Amino acid sequence: MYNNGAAGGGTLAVTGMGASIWFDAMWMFLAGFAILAALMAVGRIMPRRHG
Amino acid sequence: MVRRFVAVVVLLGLVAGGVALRLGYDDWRTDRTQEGLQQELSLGTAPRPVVRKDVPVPVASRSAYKKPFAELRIPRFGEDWEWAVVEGTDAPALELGPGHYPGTPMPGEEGNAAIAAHRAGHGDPFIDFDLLRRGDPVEITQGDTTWVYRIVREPWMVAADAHHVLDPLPGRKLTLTTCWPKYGSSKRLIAVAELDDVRVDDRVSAAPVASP
Repeated sequence: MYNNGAAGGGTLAVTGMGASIWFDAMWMFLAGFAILAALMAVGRIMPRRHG
Repeated sequence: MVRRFVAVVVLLGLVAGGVALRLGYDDWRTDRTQEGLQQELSLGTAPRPVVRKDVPVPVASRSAYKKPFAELRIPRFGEDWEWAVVEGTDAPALELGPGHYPGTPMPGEEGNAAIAAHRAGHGDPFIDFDLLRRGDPVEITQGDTTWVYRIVREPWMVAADAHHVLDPLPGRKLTLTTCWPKYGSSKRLIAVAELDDVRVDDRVSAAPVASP
């Protein structure tokens, strides 16, 4: 049996975007949530300061 | 209520946009890398086939990990479909393009040479893998030599750990692997080709070698 040098020779090469795309989506969700929360916070604070 | 709905829509838009940007960037980076690898293959330092008197067929030389050693053409995927193949099949190697499984024979060699490539992402080299049909040519070129393999077993699905598909086979075979489904990696698609012809281009042999 050949050793493919990937994943300890136990699996064939991983050639899909499956795992990485979900990882990307997760951290982009968190980043998007943070940006949105920051924008909403600014939106609430600014009118008070000007009012 | 409306503000919450708008917030959710904006959030989903940010996520979708971010993922699209990331995928676009990956494709762009792979395209740029491939241009560089194909230029590298045209230099005098690129691997050249080994011709031995006791072996009827020239054998492709191996390159170092993540270095290109040959060009792969599969006309079924498009007339201009052409990728530089690197040594290695782990994630960093496959980000560059199709990769040769280390430890398997090289093109031209007896046994089961094996190459993997991304189905989706990083330029989608094997996106149309399921369209391969018996008799389709798979051409691998190194220097002046082109090994023409023909598909003898159409794509079939196996488990992700079906490592036996890389085991030695009689004759001069080439096994291609990619992921299934198109945008996932829970299983693998496999196709097997057999060496049908070897062409040596005298114009390339006679041409002066470009300096690196």
